[in-house]
Parts: sequence; structure tokens; C-alpha cells
Amino acid sequence: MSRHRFVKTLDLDDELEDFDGQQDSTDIYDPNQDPQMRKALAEARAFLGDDFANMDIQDSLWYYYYDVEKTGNERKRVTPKVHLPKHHLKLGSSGYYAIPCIPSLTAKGFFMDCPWLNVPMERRAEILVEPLYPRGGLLGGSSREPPKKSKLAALVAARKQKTQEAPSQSENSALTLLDTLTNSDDCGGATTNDKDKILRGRRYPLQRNEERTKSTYESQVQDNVSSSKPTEEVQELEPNAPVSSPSGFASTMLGLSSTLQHTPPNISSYNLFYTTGSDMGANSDPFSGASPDDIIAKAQGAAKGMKSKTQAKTNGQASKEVNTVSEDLSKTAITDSKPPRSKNLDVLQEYRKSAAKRSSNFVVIGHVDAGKSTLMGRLLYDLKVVDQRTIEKYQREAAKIGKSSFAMAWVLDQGSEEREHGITIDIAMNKFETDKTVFMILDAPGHKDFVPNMIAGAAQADFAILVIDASTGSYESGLKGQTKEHAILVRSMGVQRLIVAVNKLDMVDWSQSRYDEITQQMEAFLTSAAGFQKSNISFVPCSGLKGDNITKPSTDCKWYTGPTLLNLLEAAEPTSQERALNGPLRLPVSQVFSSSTQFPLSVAGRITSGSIQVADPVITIPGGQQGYVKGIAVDDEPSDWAVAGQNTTIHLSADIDAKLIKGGDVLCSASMPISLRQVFIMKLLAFEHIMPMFCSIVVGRLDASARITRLLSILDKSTGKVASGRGKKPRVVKPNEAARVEITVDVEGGVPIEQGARIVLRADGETIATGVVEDAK
Amino acid sequence: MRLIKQNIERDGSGQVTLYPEDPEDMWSAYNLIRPNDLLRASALRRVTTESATGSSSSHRVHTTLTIRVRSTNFDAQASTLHVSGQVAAENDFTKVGQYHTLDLELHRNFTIEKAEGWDSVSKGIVAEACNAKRGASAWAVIMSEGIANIAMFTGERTVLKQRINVPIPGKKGDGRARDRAVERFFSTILEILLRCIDIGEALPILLASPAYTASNFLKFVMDTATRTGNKQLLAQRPNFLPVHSSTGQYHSLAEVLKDPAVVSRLKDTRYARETALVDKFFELMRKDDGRAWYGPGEVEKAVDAGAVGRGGGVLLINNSLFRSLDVDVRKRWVALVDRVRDVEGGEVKVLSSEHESGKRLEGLGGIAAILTYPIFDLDEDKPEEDVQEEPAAV
Repeated sequence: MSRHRFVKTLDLDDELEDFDGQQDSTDIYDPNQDPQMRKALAEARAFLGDDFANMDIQDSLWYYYYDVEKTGNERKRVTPKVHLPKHHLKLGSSGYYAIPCIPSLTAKGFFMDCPWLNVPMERRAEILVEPLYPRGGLLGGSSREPPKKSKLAALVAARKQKTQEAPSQSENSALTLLDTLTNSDDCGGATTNDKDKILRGRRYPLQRNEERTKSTYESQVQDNVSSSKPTEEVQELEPNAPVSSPSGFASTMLGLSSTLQHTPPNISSYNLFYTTGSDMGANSDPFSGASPDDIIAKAQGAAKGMKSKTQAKTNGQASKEVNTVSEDLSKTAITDSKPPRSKNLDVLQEYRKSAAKRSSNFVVIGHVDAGKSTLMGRLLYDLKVVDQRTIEKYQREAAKIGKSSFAMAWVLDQGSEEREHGITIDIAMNKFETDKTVFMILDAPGHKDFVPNMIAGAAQADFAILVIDASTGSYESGLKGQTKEHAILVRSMGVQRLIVAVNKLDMVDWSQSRYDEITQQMEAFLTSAAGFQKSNISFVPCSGLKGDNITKPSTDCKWYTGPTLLNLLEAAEPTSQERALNGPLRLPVSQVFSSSTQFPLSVAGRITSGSIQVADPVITIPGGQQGYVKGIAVDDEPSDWAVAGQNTTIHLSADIDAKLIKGGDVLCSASMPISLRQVFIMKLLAFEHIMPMFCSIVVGRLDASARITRLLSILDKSTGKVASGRGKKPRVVKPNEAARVEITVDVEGGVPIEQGARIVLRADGETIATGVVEDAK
Repeated sequence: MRLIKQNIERDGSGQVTLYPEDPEDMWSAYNLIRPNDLLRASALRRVTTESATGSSSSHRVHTTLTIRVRSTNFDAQASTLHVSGQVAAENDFTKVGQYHTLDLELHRNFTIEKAEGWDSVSKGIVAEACNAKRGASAWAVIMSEGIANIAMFTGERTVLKQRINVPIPGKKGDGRARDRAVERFFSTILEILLRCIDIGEALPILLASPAYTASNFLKFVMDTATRTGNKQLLAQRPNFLPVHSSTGQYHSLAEVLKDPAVVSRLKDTRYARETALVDKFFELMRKDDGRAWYGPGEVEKAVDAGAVGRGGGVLLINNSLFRSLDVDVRKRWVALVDRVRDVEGGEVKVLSSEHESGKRLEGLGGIAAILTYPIFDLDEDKPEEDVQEEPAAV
């Protein structure tokens, strides 16, 4: 008999009895932590005085993992309320003071008069006028979903209940959910509490596969309950809590009122599948099933071994208790792979709290052989990021193949091909820290053929270092070549701050006149052609090979007394790029790799919008592969979350086929994927003649074949309006003109591009235009 | 293609019998056969007979059918042409009006009678198709790390045979994983290339890529051939020609065809000439001296103004315009071509829309002209006409 059938036929009350009192929720209390608990308790006592029960403090301590201060605050905040029955009741949504319910109340009976998705009109209307109040989940949640209770929170709540028998048990058993919702003034508080508890009470014995599906329903109901609680107390308690977005269910029930529409459609409904695993089941008695800790233990066991099937079977019994509604839902697809537990962090809150160092990305650009990699290798060496032994090893190896001057560059040029040819091919990323800032170096290739790779790096940069080869002849050829092209490209990618490192000055005997000549010419070029502001450009004479003016002032270069390259880096305020923390997750993948056996598939890139945390479901576009986040590293340090603007490595679950994800794809939140565009309109600034022609579009790491299909208009560069004269329907766009054109991508299915994306158009190995997507259709 | 019999009257009526020899001829036939033409070719038809007792039996018969063409369908990958239409002449097995789809076969004659008569363009196609010295074929592999496009080009067409995508892990991870992926990428290309080409033939194989990918691939191919003792592959060594391209995308083929090494290798071929002409056109566009115009309306005006004539006037036109289903549109372009060639004395180049240069022209509306003298205002006062021309441009 399938489990669904099983579930259908089971007698709920029967099952409830089976589980009564079998489990003690405290039995997994870890005795190893006892000394710690005692110590923390003592501290908390000192902090709080004697007005509080040991048990309460212990609960909170556990909850906050022995953070005495937080515990103290929470105790102080919460305790007075507990003694006031009225407040007590209204606190239900925070999940701590849920009141035991009438055992006879089952979900089936509860929803009997309430056919789903068929709610009578008069009941819907009431809720619309209620403002949406935050639910005070202490652990918060990811930024776009309602805060939820973690296992521990639930456990604390459950224990609480045991110790405090609330008096209002018998009052509201007859009320239906929707009546409850409409009567928030008088009995709403209490019933909501009851409701809350009903929903949460039966969480334990459920088996994860069911949980996932049920949780949608569950969380939706919870949403509803919480959104119908306009009590002042709650608001006061959590003045800064984020407003949760309405769930799909709530939207169905309530319609999308204007107050609810300020957030995009609910991402959380996906997240909830993974994150609120056990917050469900409609049992009136929370102690009738396994304790939450058992569930955690089980889930962990299941996640480790591949015995999820057997797990499912043993848990099958528990799943009998599923109520009739979730029964239907549980028929939806069930997969075997188990996501890790989500910590349900409110990522944005965490981000604000985290007193992390300022982090800054910079891209190193310049003509081929200007010494970009060597300069950065020297910087890393002088800062002791690379040790002496490694450098000596590189020196030996480089000397062996007759390229001894490349040893420093080998710090960044790790690829065998790169070393063999002595050039950088792909962006290398290296991290170093100063007292104030964490810097991420994006060492770009200078070779003409790898400009797309350089664009991929520039797309992630806050500011740039332009390295110029000052030696005779090289500077001049660079100016015609990639010195110019790179400078224009980084500017058009949105980089405003530029440090110009005039390198290899040791080759011209630290000639000041040469330096002055170069700085003058470059300044003229950068301010006029490339459009940098003069105040945003700084120059430094240096030698990457010798290490002059990199971290310490040069002894050979007597005439220069200004800051070293490192000083300039520290002074470089990253131009505050608007970080779209609240948008849906977008992570343009710059690299796909396998980091270890534990994480067979990882992607790296800089998040452009939104936030992500472990266990979030994600989808790759255009691959369409769905999976979840197994682990996160920010700036190569493991983390539980990441937000827009951070260099992130995401370790993905095995559901995603490594063959179907490549650089240039976009990792999105599963519920709000980026859409694919075949045809779009863009505004561009031309560097070459533009006609209807073939070209490649380069957007970050994405490099796709495309055609310019129509020239729509020439734009006036100062006003941005269609220029008079030959503005309409031009037949050719001349260099240095702005125009609006239509691009058709020659990729089946289109490419992931959104409005506002910065695009570089290239043809025949040259950049012909840069621009911004105006309208994608 | 061999011309077996030609029998064209002064007024353009008459028949031509052709004998296709290689798959490329099917492309010529596709450009030649238009709806409403009469086509006579051998066919395999299933005939159902009913006996006196009512039982029916069916068998296949080889017969020659004459059909009035309704539509044509060209399979570019397989180079096969299917022509469907209604039977126009009764024989033992078919009645007039019955439908039949002829699959034109190599080494079997077919006879065409044009519905609107033989015009200069169709006669030109026949002459071109029967010219034995049409350009030789070549292969090209355009690649960059992780992507490769295998293309074949013949006298008339460039056909993308296969697109290969192998994900190559980034620099960040394990270096060996990357090397392994590159090797897998190369072996995939080689495997597919060997499946495409006839290894006994000595056709040039252009290997184009940015930086070192192509030369690395060539090294890989030779290493593999040596290791496996593949003598045929080793013998192909002189045919491989590594060249530079700025991307690994298919449209970089234009760049490859401009490479001096490639030009000298393929200089007699038609596509090399066409590519040069289209390049010249784009060059003039860049100069913006009023001598290069594109788009149907502009070009017709330029011809009206007598600017596409003797002394350097060139009309570039895609053969896709002659394949229009609308007879009037077809006639319009044929008339323009005749006029430029015969009346004005200019040069006319009919580009193959399946060819790289033709594809570039396609973006310009399929028609362009290089004028003998500059005209600057051809595009004025015609916004409403532009709207009509739009579909042709796309």
C-alpha cells in the first residue's frame, strides 16, 4: 500500500494516542554541555538578578547558544509579558508562549467547513484591511521570507509549555480558522495562538519527504495566522523585524492587495520546502510524537547515509498523522536528495550585524606584457601572502624554462599553458588583507585574444589598476592596443576609480621626464576619451619586478615622494555601487569547478542582487537545473550566507549536472529565475562603425554570438533623446555616436540578460561598442 | 551537374534536362526549381490495385512523373531536395491532379520547364551549376576553449555541421581537472571531425581559434595519430591549417576567410571572391563617402539614378531574394539584375544565402550596391516604404 493510501485511511486520533508521552523532548540534552550551561547560567544570573526562573534562563541560554547577553535581554524583554495573560495570548506568533490546545481538535475538524481555495467572499474581505505585521521569529529568516522558528526555538517553546500551564485551554475550540482570522480583536489572540499551536504541535514524527510538501501548506497557514495579528505589543517588541511577504496561500486567500504587492511574488514558498521542515503537522498535543531533536538526528542520519529510503519507511508510521489537506499535497514529486538544514538566517540582518572589514575588488588591466601579473605577484609577496619558499620554487622552475623574470607572475598565472607562454589567459583571483580592507585581486589577461576574459573580470570590479609599461616603445604600442581598449572597457563597465601604475620605470633609469610624459598623456586620454574624472585617477611610478613603490617607498626613485601602490589601494574608496540586496538572487557564474570530493560542483562569481544562504533552492539559467546550496564561501572563507556584492563560491548539490552549467550562466533563486532573451533593445556608444552585422555580445563571463538586426535611432549624447537630422533609422552608426539598436542573439533559447545589464559588443577581435540593455522582450 | 539537354526558345519557354553529380548540385536545383514549374523526374510510387474480388494489394513501381511544383524543401545537412506537387501528365500509374513528392536523386536526370519562362537568373544558375571549376570544398573548425564549430564549405554554401560545447572548469579549481577537460574537449572534436570528413580526401582543414587553442589541438591530433598509428590521419598533416580568429563562434568564419594564409589556399574559389566583395562594401560603408548603400529601396533608387553602372558599379544580391514565393517579387529582382547587367553595364554578384558572405548581406536586407559616384540622400523621404521592407531585413 502506498504511503498516500496509508495516510488516507489512518485514524488520526488513534495515532495520536500511540505517540502520547513516548518521547521526552529533553532527552537529547547534551550532558557534555552541562558545565558550559552552569557557567553561562551563573553569568546570566549575575546579569539578570533573581527575578527569573532557572529553567527560563536555561532555555534561553540554550536557544542563544550560551550568549549571556542576548539571553539576558530576551529574558528581560519577555518575562513581564508572560505574566500578563492577555499579552501572553497575543504573543503566540513569536512562537514561545504557545498555549496547549484542546486535544480533541484535529485539523480535519478544524478545516471542515473551509473548502480550500473556495473561501467565501465575506471572509476574504476582512483580512485585506488588516496591515501585515511582522512575526517576531527571533532567528529571522532569509530576507524574503517570513521569519520562522528553528528546531531549537520550537523546543524552547515546547518546554515552556510544559512548565507554564496556560489557563485558556477550553475557550475557542469551536472556532474555525477563518473566523479566527476575522475576529482578531477579541478572541483573535487566543485562537491564533491555539491555531499556531495546532499547526506546529504535530511536528515531530513527520518524515522529511512529506514535510517538504506539506510545509508549503503549513507555512502558508502560518503566514495567514501571523498576518492577521495586528496587536500593538507584537509590533513594539519587534520594531525592526522585516515585513514578511505574503505566501502563495495568503495571496490566494486575500488577493494581492496593494499593501502586499511591494514585495515580489513569494520566493519563500520554495525555501520553505527545505527550511521549515518540521514546523508542521496538526496535532493538538505537541508531546505526542518524537521530539524535534529526534527529527534532527534522523534527518542528519538520512543526509549522511544513502539510506533515505529506509528512513522513509521507518518514518512512514509517523506520517500517518498527516492531516487530510497535506495528504493531497504530499502526492507531489518527492526527491531523495536531502538538503542540509537551513539555519533560516535573516541574511540582511546578519549582513548588517556583521562587522566585517570593507571588501573591495579591483581588476588589474593593461596591455600585454605590461607586467600586471608580476606587479600583483610582487604585491602578494611583499604582503607575505605568498611565502619565500613558494617564490623560490617558482624562481627555480621559471629559470628552468628560461623565463626567470616571470617567477612573480606565476603566483597568479597558475595554469600550465599560461606559464608555458608567459601570459595570463584567464582572470586570476587572489585575496589579501590590510588593516582596513579585504582586497580581491582580479588579474586580467592583457592579450588581445582574451579581452572577453578581461571583461568578465572587470564586471566584478569596484575599481581598477591600469598598469603601463614605461619602457621605450612598449608604452606607445600599448597606448594603441589594450591600454586604451581596457581603460575604455572598465569605464563602460561602471568602474569610476582608476589607479595608474607606471611600471617598469627601472628599465628607463627612473627617468622623471618619462614618467611625466606618460602621466600627462594618460591623464588627457583618460579624462577625455575614456571619461574618467580627473579626481578619480591617481598615478604611481613603480617597478613590479624590483618592488619599488609597491608596499614600501622606492630608494631608487628619489623624485617621487607620493604614496605607494598599497597606500593608494587603501585610499581607494570603492565607489559605492548600489548593492541590490533586496532583489531576487542573481549570481552570474564566472567559474565552474570542482573544489573537493565533498563539494563536487562549485561555482564562483559575484552576486549582483539578492542574498543566499545554505540550503536555499537554486536554479541555473539557461541550464534549468534545480538544486540547492550545500555550502557557501565568501572571499574564500566558509560562510552561512552571502549578499549582493560579495565574491561568493557556492557549492551546489549533486542534482545539478556539471555538464549543463558553464561560465556565463546565472544562478538564480528557484522561485524567481532570470528570463532568457533572444531579442533586445540596447543603447550603445559606438567605437567603430555599426551596421546590421554579426558580432559577439560579452556580458560578464557570457560571450555569445549575436547580430545587430536593426539600427533604431541615433541619440544625442548629451540629452539621450533621438538626435535631430539623421537621427531616425540611420543606416550606419559612426564611431563615437550613441545609438539605440536591436540585437538578436544567435543562441537557441536566448541568453540570460536583464534590463540594465552592461554589454560589450565585439567583432573581428575589436570592441565595437558598449552599452546598456534598455528593453528586453 | 551536367547539362544533358537544353531547349530554350527565344521567348524563354522550353526545357532543360540536368544530371546532378554531387550533393552540391541539389542546392543549385533548389535555387532553380520554383513553385508552378514543371518537373519531370524518376519516382518511386506506391500503387494500390484492387482485384475483381475486392482484395487490394499495393506495390512500388519505378516510374517517371511530371509534376507541377507546389513547394520545395531543402535539407541543408543532408543536401537532399524534396519537391512536392501535383501530377501534371497522366501515365499508367497516376492520374492528373494526384499529389506526389519527388525526392531528387543523384545520378538521375531531371527535366525542368519554367512556368514564367527561363530568365537570366535561372539560366545563370544552370550555367554556374554546370561549370566544372566551381570552388573546391574545405573544412573549418572554429574553436575556443570549450566551444567548437565544425563547418564545411563548398562552392555555394557553408554548412555548420556540428557545434560542440564541453564545459572547461575555471582556473580556480584543480588544475588537473582542467587539463583533463581540455583533453576531453579535443578528443570530442577529433572524433566528430573524423566522422564528418572523408579521411581519404585531401581537403584543407582550417583550424581557427584565439591564441593557442588551435595549435594545441593540432598537436593533440598529431599526437593521437602517432599514438594510435593512424597513418591516414598522419597523412592529413599538410591539410591542417591553423589560423587565428578572435572568437570560437561560427560568425568568426568571416574573419578566417580573410586570413592571408586561407586566401592563398582557397584563392580560386567563389566564396573567396564574394567575401572580398562584401568586405569592400563594408569598407566603403565605413568611409561613408556615399558610395555604398544597402536595403531594397535605396538600391533600386541608386539603380534608377544610374549609379550602378559601368566603371565600378556592383550589385550584390542574395539568391534568397529569387526564392521568394511571390512571383512578382521574384520578377522585380530578376528585372533589377537584368537591368544592371545588360542596360547599365554594372557587375552583378548573386551571393549564396547559405554562404558566410551571403549571411552578412542578409542582415542588410539581402541587397546592397557599390555605386560609381556618391549619392548622399537615398534614404530620405521614405519612412513608409521602410516598414514594408522590414521583413526582408530580418
